[in-house]
Parts: sequence; C-alpha cells; structure tokens
Amino acid sequence: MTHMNTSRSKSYAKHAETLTLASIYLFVTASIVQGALFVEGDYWKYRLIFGLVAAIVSTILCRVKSFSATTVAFWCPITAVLAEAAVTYLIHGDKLFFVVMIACLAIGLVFVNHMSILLLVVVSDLIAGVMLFILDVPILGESASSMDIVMQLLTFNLAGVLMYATCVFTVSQFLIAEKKSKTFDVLMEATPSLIVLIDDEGRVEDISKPLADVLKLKNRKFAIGRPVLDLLKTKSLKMDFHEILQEKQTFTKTVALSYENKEVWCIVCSAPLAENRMARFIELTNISSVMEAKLEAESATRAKSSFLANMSHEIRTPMNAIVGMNELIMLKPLDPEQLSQAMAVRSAANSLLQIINDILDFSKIDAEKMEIFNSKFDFASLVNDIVNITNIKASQANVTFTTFISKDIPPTVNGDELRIKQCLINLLNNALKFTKEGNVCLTAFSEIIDENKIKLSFSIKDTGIGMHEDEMSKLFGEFQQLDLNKTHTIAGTGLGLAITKKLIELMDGQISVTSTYGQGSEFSFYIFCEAEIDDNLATVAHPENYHVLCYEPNVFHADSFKQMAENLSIGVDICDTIQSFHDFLYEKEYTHVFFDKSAQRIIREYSTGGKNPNFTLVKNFNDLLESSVYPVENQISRPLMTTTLAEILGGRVWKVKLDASNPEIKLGAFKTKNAQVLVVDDNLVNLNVAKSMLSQYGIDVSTATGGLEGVDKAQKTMYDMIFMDHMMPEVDGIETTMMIRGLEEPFKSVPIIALTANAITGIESLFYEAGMDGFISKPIIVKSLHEILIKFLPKEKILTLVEDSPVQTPEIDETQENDQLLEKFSAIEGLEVETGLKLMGDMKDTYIHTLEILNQTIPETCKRLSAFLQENNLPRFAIDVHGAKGSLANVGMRELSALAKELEFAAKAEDMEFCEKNFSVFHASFKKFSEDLAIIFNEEKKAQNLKQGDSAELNVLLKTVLEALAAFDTDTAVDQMKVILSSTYGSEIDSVLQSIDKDLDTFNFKHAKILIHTLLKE
Amino acid sequence: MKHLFIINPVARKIKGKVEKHIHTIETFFSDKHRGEFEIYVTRWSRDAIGFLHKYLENCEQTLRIHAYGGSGTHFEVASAIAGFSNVELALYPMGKHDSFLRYFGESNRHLFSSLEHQTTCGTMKVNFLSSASDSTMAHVTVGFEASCYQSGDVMAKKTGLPDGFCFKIASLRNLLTGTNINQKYKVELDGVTLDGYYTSLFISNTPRTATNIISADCTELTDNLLDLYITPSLTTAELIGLIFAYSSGDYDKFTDRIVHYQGHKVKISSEQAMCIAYEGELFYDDEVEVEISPQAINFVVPTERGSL
Repeated sequence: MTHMNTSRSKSYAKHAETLTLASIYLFVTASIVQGALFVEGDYWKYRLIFGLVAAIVSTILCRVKSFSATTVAFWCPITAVLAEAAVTYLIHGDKLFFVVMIACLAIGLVFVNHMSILLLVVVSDLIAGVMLFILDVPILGESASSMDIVMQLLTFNLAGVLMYATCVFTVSQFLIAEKKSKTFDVLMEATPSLIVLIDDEGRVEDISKPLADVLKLKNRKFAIGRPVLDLLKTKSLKMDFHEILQEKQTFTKTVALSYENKEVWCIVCSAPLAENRMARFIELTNISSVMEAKLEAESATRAKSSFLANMSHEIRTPMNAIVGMNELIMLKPLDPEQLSQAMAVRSAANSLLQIINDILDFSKIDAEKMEIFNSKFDFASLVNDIVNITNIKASQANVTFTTFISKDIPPTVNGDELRIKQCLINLLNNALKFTKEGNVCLTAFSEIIDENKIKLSFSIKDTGIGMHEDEMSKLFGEFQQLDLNKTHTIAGTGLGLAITKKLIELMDGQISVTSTYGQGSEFSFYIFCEAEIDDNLATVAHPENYHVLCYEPNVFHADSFKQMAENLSIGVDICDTIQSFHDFLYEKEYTHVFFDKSAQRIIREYSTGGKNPNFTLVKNFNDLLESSVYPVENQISRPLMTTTLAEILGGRVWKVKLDASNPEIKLGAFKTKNAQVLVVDDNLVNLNVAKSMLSQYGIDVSTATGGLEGVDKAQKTMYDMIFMDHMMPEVDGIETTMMIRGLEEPFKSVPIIALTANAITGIESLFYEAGMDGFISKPIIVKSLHEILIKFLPKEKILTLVEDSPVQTPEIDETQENDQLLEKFSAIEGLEVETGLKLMGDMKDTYIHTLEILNQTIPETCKRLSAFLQENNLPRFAIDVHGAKGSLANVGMRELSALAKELEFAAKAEDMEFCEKNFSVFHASFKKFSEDLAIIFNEEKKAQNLKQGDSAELNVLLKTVLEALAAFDTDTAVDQMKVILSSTYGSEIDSVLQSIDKDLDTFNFKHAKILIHTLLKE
Repeated sequence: MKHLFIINPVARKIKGKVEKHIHTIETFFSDKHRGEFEIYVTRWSRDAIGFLHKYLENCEQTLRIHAYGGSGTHFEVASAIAGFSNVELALYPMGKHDSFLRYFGESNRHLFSSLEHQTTCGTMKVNFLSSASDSTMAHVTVGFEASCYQSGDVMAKKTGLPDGFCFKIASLRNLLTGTNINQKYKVELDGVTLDGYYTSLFISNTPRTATNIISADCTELTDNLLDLYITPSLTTAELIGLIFAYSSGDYDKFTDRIVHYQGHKVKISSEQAMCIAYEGELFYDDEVEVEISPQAINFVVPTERGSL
C-alpha cells in the first residue's frame, strides 16, 4: 500500500524568475542581432556563437528538473555575462573588461540575492555595450560601409534601450515587491488577527504578531522559514494543525485546539494561495469565550429540557387525578352551570395535557434523546388515520378538508409511522388553526430514488391568513407564535412547528414553507424511506371502462375529485349545480355516480327509470349519522381519498389481508397462553357474547359493565388488549379510552379496540381521535375478531396459528337438550336461530346463555327506554336502544334490531315524532320476545325440577342479602343468592334475581341493592 | 513485524526519483516476502510527525519505520516515535549530511542503504535530543557556526554550488561582516547558569558530525548524557586564523579554546536573535531548550553479520 502524494509544489519566486529570464533572452537576442549585422570578418561569428551558447545554456538550465528556479535565475545572467566577457576578451583581447565582469560575478556570489544578480546584469551589460561600441567602431571603420556603421549604431542603441528598459522594469518590480513586502510587514505587525502564511513546504512565509505572541516567539520573524509544526509545542496541537494542513480547499470551521492544557476554541479559516498547492493562508479567531458561553447555554438548555421533562412528567400525575375526578363529578347530577364549569375543566385539562406532551417531545429532541424507529407500515392506514383525525377538527372549524394522495405511492413503506403522523397532524392542526374559511389540502406523492428507496413528499396547503416573509424566517423557531395581534386568539405552545422541523430532520428530511400574506400558506416536507416500489397504493384495471359523474357543490372537493380521477386515469364529469347534474345524469351513461345529499331526490327519481349505475352518496363528516332519504349501497364521508375512489370503482386497493390464506376462519382458530383481555360493555348480553367468543381462544376474559369500572380495572391489570363498547351510559367508550390513555405507563399503552354497532363509514375517526387502535362492528364477526386478535395480541402469547392446516373448530355442544331448546327458540317470531348461532361460532351453550341473559335484561331495558322517552331524554334513549340493537342482532332478531337501529338514528336526529310513533311497536315486539323467551326458559327450569319459591321466604332471603351487603359481607350475600336461585318465582322475578346475582358477580352492589329494594316493594 | 516507509520526496538523493525508490521497495518486499509494508510519501515539512502521531495511536504490533530522507527526515521521524517501545527506526542516508549515521562510520554507509540489512538487522537503544519544538538525534548548534551554516545553505540553494564551498564563502562573508561572532548568551545546564559572550555553542549526542567540522570526541551515544561544547568569544582575527583549520576538521588546533560540559538538560537564551541549527534545520530564536531522552529510540543498526 502506498500513500503517494503529488510531487511537492515548487515554491519559487516566479515573479523574479520570469523577469530575469526575460532579461537574459532579450540580451541574448540583442547580441545575436548585433553579431548578424557585422557582415565581414570573424567578429560577427564570435558574437553569434557566444550569443547562441548563452541562450542555449540558459534554456537548458531552465529545463533541468533538479535545478530550482532560483538557481536558474542565478546562473542565467552569469552565463550571459560570461559569454559577453569571453566575446570581448577574444575579439579585443581586453582583460580589463573581462576582470570587471568576473568581479561582478564575485560580488553576486558573496552577496547573493536577486537584487545583486540584477545589478550584475545591469552593470555588466551596460559596460559591455559601451565598451563594445567604443572598441568595435574603429575596427569597423576600416572596412565597413557607412551603412554598416549606421546599422551598428542603431543596433547597439536598440539593444541598449531594450536592456536598459528591461532592467529598469525588473528593478522597479522588485522595488514594488519590496514595498509591498514592507506594507505587508506593517499589516502583520498591526493586525489583531492570528494569521499565518504557509508555503508549499509547510514552512512559515509570514506570521502575524499576535499569533507569534501566542506561540511565545519574541520576534515574529523568527518563525519565518520554519516548519509551522515546529512552532507548536505540544503533540496534540501538532496533530490539530496537521489536520488543518491536510485540507486542500478553502474552508472555515470551528476547532478545539489544545493549548497550554486548555481547550481553545477557534474558527479556522484556510485558503490555498493557488489551486492544488499546499501554500495557504490560515487565520485563527479565538472564540473560546463565545464557545464557553455557548456550551454553558447548551448545558443550561439541557438542564432546562431535563427539568421540563421531569416537570411535565410530574404534572401528568396530578393531571390524571384532575381529569379523572372531574369525570366523576360530571357523572353526578349537576345543574347546567356546574356542568358547564366541569366541561370547562375538562377542556382546559385536555389542552394542558397536549401542552405537556409538546414539551415532553421538545425536551426529548432538545436533549437529543428522541429516536426514530423505522418499521414497515401501511401507507393507506397512515393517511386514513390522519384524515379521520383532521376531519373532525375541520368540520368543527367550518373549513373544507381535501386530500390528494398519489396512487403511485408504494403501499408499504419503511419509516417511523408515529413520527410521520405526528408531523402531519401538527402541520394540519396548524393549518386549521390559521384558516377561518376556505380549504386545507393534504397532498402526498412519492419519487423513486433507487430500487429500494423513495422520496416521500407531503404538502399541507391552506387558504388561511398567510405570513409575511420576515415572519417565515422565524417560523420554525422554538416557542414562536407569529404576530401576536393576529394570533392572540390562537392557543398553543408555539412548539409544534419546531418539533415538526426537528422530527423531519431526524428522518433525514427537510421542511419548507411558502406563503402569501392574506392568501394562505403551504408547508412542504419530504423524507427518504425504504419501500417496495413495485407496488402501488391504488390502481384501477381498465380505467377506460369507467365513466364517472360527480355532483360536488363544494369547489375544493370538486377539484380534489377531479385530480384523483385524473390520477387514476378515469374519465369524469364534475357538476357543481343540481341542474347540470340532472342534465348530465339523463344525457349520458355512467358507470358510477357520486353525489351530494342534496341530489338524493334526483337519484331516487332517476332510479325509478330502471337505470342503475353504481351510486355513492358523499356526505360531510357531520352528516354521517344522518339516515339517507334514498338508500344507496355506498355512503362515504368527505374528503374522498384516491384509495376509496379506486375501491368503489372496483379497482384494486392495497389493504392488510390477514385472512387471505384462510377465508373461512372459525372461532378459536388459534389458542393463546396467558392472554388477558378486558371487555367493557354496559350490555350484559354483549359482554357474554364477547366473553364467550374470546374464551374460545383460551383468553382469560375480564369484564366491566361501565367506563369507570373499566378504567379501574385497566389501571390495576396489564391487559393485552381491551374491547371497549362505544355507547355506554354515564361514561362512554370514547371518554373511557381517553381516561385510560391518561394513565401511567404501561397501562396507558394497552391496545383498545372499539366495539360499535355504528357501522357507518367514517365513524372510525372518532375512535382513532380518542386514541383507540381499531374497531369491530357489532355483532362481532369471527373473521374480524380473528384479525384484530392476531394484530394486537402479543405474538408470544399466540400458541397455534392455524392457517394452512385444517381449521380447529371449537367444541360444539351437541347435546340433545340443547337441540331441543334451540328448536323451541326457532319457533319465536323473528328469531333467526341459525344466524345467531353462526355469529357465536356455533356455540349452542353460549347462544342459549346469551338468550337467557337478554331475557333477563329486557324488562329493565324496556322500562328505561319508556322512561327516557317520557322525559324527552333522547340522547340516553339513543344509547339504550343502541344497546338493544346490538343484543338483538347478536341473537338473530334482525328485524327487531333494524327497528332499534331506526329508533337510534331518530333519537340521534332528535326526531321525537318518529321515536314516539315507532317505539310502541318496538316495545311490544321486544316485550313479546322476552315473554316468549321466558316461557321457554321457565319450562326449562321446570324441566330441571326447580322448586316453586315462596314470596315470603324470598323476602326474608332478600333482606338477608341486603343486610349482608350493608355489612360488606359479600360471601354471605352470594351464598344467599344461590339459595334464592335454587327456586323459581315467576319469569319476571327470576329475571330480576338473575340480574341481582350478576351484579353481585360484578361487584355492582349498589345496583343489586336497588333491585332488591324494588322486589321487596313489589 | 510491519514495515512503514516514510519517504521525503525532496531529499537530495530522492528528488525526482520517488517512483523509482517506491518501485525498489515494492519489488523487494514482493520478491522476498518480507511481510506487510506501507509507504507514506510526505507532503510538507513535518508531515511525517502528524501522520505518525495518528498512525501510532492504533498500532499495537511491532513496527519498523524506515526514514527515507536526510537528517531533517531522520529527526522528524525520530521525534514522532521517541518513547514507543514497539517501534523501531531504520535510517537511510538520502540527504546531504546524514550526520547521525556518520557515527557508524563512512564505510558502513552502504549497509544503511541496504533494504536487506535494514529489514533484517537488530536494534540498539539510543539517546535522543528533544526539545519543545524540534528534536534531533545528532546535534544542535548555536551561534557563529550556525549562522555560517545558514548563509552557506542559502547560497547553496540559490547557486547549486557545493555545500562545502558555499559554507566557506558564507563563513568568509560572516567573518567580514562580523555576524554572530560574539554574542551574549545565558546557558542553564541542569540548573547551573553560565553567562557570557560566546562564538559558538554545540550540543551533541554523537561524537562525530558532518565533514568532521567538529569532532566532539568526548560524546558517547549511549551515556544518557548530552554534551555541550562552548567556544568562548574570539576576535575576528583569531577566528580568521582558525577558520581554515576549523573548516577542514583540524580539531587539534583549537581544542584548547573549547570548553566541554555534560548534563541532561540545557537551556540557551539570548537577548539578541540566536542563529540555531538543528542538524539541517536552521532558524532564529531567542531561546532553545534541549534535553536528552535516554534510550528513547530503538535504532536499527545494520551490520554485515545481520545484527549487533
């Protein structure tokens, strides 16, 4: 291995060399001309020969590589002078002139420098010229013509003038150089800067006095000519400087030099004095004081960050108590003023939590503790989450929110999904904050960098208040909020953009902003990610086969739709008025029609004509819960996304397909070990269903019948996941989830899956916004449950995942008794036993038990529903009827469940008239269903030879239970209940007793007491 | 063992022939299978110091460094490796004087040029003259002699004439101009102070120096002491009388005018600029401090028999 450097650059006095050589060549040329003009005798030959010799010798000297230019510059004039002296001596035999020449040489040798050499040339040439003229004329006078003499005179004059001019010029250049050198000396003495000039040998050419002082040189001239490294006394300083000298290009950097056992911070500015040469100018600026201040400031900042992080953490703990206690207060009967105050506390607490989260993030980044964790994620899922979260805020802010997600983005991207999401949400929230009306648009596209890498770009464009140019420069600063007058109503820490910028930089990306004051802003950023570029987010096969009509009155959504259609290469007609929509619809043939709700009537009329393209109703997010005038297959919420459009058009949309290899998944297709799951649902039927289904997977299932109980359990046990019912009285699933997310780690991070009967497109955004991780529609479909369990249960707890092998089927109770019972149930009007069984994975026991529980709850549910309706309390009515809807669907009462659904929608729409009109039908059917069930169960009990209980005896036993509960003797209470339940007291009473027993099981003693008191009164 | 060649491309016998020397080394190692080797061609004065400091930070195996250059390169490399027990130093006579190598005899110079011997022979521990800035293995000269060196060096560089001739011309000129003949110095030798006007001061680690100008016969390479030779103040006339004997190495004629001291550490200072010569390195300063580093260098001594 060879470290071969280019040959050392020569450090020579180029200036002097050039001038001196020019002088020599001029002199030689003049000699040749002189010689050539003498036409007779040998004289001219001598001159010519020696002139040529001098020229050749000078040229050879210049070509000898090992000779330095200084040496050449020394010997060239000497050669010329020697030639001149030799000519003079040979022709005229004049020793005096020869001696003078040699004397000049000797002086030059002893006091060797350029000036003496020049003087040598000047003096010798002038003397030679004069003497030759004097000596030559008599010689020529004898034989030469007058023309020869004239020519000779002219030649000598010309040669003399040329030589003289050359010498004057050369000397003047040296004088100028010397003057410059003196000026430079003054500069180097006077400058306060630490400057050193280094030649090609790494030796000091000049040095400023301050630097000489630093190097403890009494006279800066002492340094000149010495290797610069010799001036540095310590090994570390030599090494530092050696590094600096290795840089060939101009550079400025900050370095810490070790000087006198201290670290001296300097800004080093270095520039080569010519291209590809070692010779360079180096200036050092001591910035130790500045650096010390900077380091102190950084240390203080780190301390501050650490303090903030600690404080934020400390604040979170009492904040949890505040939030939790406030939620408890809100559960109690409050007057409107108290409720308003409690709501204000909740709002403020949530804001404060967000601020604390920002500070925590920023502190982490500031302390360089924030790490980026790359993993593969589904891009469509990311965008979906972002859109759902933003949609809620956009709808609240009365701003349209549109997207354009390029179909070409790879479906699976390797990056930090959490941080990308955080950046996008920050920027979108920011855009929404500063946009009072108009539109906020999210754009995403990708660019292929190489076979595994893409540049993923996002932009968030708004039509908000915009910024001035000077404001943009400080936009990404910490704690910055622009224009206090303009933004005084806008809350926030001012950390959002700073956090976003730093996160993007951590992901090797960059963020930029363009803005026009009063018109809006556009924030753009990109990051680099690994991705499988051979797949696309969405594609539509044979797009030419599709012709789409879209009625979109909102110009922003219309533009967005058009852009997406073009991206998918779909032909589209966009209408912004009802009239034009009507005209297009009737004039042309379309495969797909997307329409706003205001066009529903036109669609209904059009459909009666027999034409039936694929209709899609596009709703605003706020209108999601509204029922449609005209039932269409597809209902989607704005903003429409490229993936959704492709899906509706029948195109291929990439999505996670966990069950791709096993579409017929049965309940309990795998088993788990030590998996613990909590199910929170106020509805006992649903609880039982969920519990039964989950237990088939070997999961240890805990249950909670309300949000607060759920929170209580979630903070005591580290569950693997929680299934959370959405609509519960008192504290609903959303609030419960938020409370759980406010707990300490690790309890706060438990995956929470929403259980919802609201299977409406877009509703999932509510869950994601609340911090949930997924959702399952009720009634629970085995396939969905399977997917969710696979996705969220820890992998190590999943024992057998059967995919290719025959499906492991759950144990099915096939006893004759159950079959007989099921046959009896089949006779109940509206009850589709097969559907119910299928939903419960063909578990007959579970199904029967579920019916039993449902039967027990129906009377109470009916009572509550009637009461809520009488009180005009439609929100509570909606919650209870929603529960009934789910329970009925679970057991296969589809028609009655559908009626419950209509009632729920009506209640949500505050349609009292519909509720009153239809509730009686529902109530009657519900009650009848309960009675039918009771008959069958009573018969069953009788068949089981239950003894008929005595009401007096029941009263005594119930009082005993009450007393035991009052004395917190739950064991006695439970034992007494067992005695009570060993007899039957009629279906209604039995049903209540079952509820009491369940309450005791679930520690809901308060409710148990209420029920017992009710029974005792009756 | 690994071999590292440090080549100074502007050393007198290398200039213009760097590629040839590299080729010779590469051929030698490939033909003889001498093991691992590296070649580093220096780029500027003291480049080798910076390079070696960094190189040796991570070097744990035994390393033989071959300094291909003149005296400047020799002490440049020596100063970088002094104190490293796993590093050996082989010096090649590629400069003008190669003064340290003269200690081993002119007749042995060919052994120092032999790659065969330099890669196979054994080592001996030798002393080293170190100072805060420069270091040397042979000698440090202060005063008139150093100024003659300097003037002669300048002349030789400019004219290309022989060093000896230039040194004599320069000495003559300095005599005529009286440069550095009598300067007041303060000498501190192991805490003992000597004040006075001196013509020349000579600090030596080896007994013999270039062209026998001074024969410091009292000096031993391995005695762990430095030797200080002070020539007291002389008149110009006395100096002219001695100059020819001096420059021709006729040491006996002026030994009675030189005072010899020994010690470990010497500091020489002057209120005027002192002309100083660290072997081939010539410069001015007002203070110089030199200390003997005993047994600091594992020096490769090539012999006909292979090792000492």
